Amino acid sequence: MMAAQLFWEDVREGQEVPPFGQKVGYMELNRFAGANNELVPIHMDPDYAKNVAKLPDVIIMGNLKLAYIANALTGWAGDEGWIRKIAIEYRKMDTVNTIITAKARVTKTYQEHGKHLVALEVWVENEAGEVTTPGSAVVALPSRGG
Amino acid sequence: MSKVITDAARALIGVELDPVTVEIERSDVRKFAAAITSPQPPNPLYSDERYARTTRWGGLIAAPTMCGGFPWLGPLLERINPTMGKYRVGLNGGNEYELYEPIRPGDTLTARPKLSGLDEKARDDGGVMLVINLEADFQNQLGDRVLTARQTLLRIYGPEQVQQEGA
Repeated sequence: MMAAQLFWEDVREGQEVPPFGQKVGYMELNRFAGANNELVPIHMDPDYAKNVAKLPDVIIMGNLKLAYIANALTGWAGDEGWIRKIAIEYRKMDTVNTIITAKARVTKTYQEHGKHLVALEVWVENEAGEVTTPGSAVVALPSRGG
Repeated sequence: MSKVITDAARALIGVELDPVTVEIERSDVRKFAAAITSPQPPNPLYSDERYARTTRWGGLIAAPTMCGGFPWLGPLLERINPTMGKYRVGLNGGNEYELYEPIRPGDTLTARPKLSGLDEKARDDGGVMLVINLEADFQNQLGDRVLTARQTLLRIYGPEQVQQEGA
């Protein structure tokens, strides 16, 4: 499934990671709810979400948005890449049956304790291009120097 | 002056709870992998043992954010919830994961979760947003530290719920 392995030496500041985005319907939400032990009515029941929780609609789990960001990062970093750290804030809600897109951009490349690391700005955008879920990540990559 | 944070809640900050154990089942690793890309195919590192064996990992590993579903928040919330009043809605404010070593099917992880902070912010409607910070360090059965998980939970109290608490 993976493309050719990415190496640390090939990464440049400002480089964008191929995005991971798709429409999130009830099928995706319910499947994730089961896999993530997240059986919460605001993620599955529109009546509860709107009338009890007073939300605009059923909302997409933060953990699913985080997983989409991780998908973008792992797809880019290849099999030998490793997400060393990821931190996300859920600032705005994303609602069911909308397209969300996880994106990332390199902010720095550096070495620490013998590891070849890449710092990235990461985020999820909604259909209007608004950032709903900003964050940061550090990915370790293999080096051509071994 | 706190409107919803009580002294009993503050007293729990920094107290480590009894260890929580998480057994990593192969089927759970594969189900999680399928759920995070569905309807697209899963990453074979997390779903195809044969493929994963050919990689540097030598076998299946868990997707990096699978730890988001580990049941470490429940025991903490059972302690925290009785110390504070009823709220209108709870939301996930943020996650932070530091990943040190791969988590693999068959692993048994243990953690001692703790409440790391409490804060509250006034809302325009007269209610309060409570910010709860929780943290857990996970070790595997070999004693290797595999993960530090930090979770921010947000709870929105309506004006009527704040009044009840202040009474």
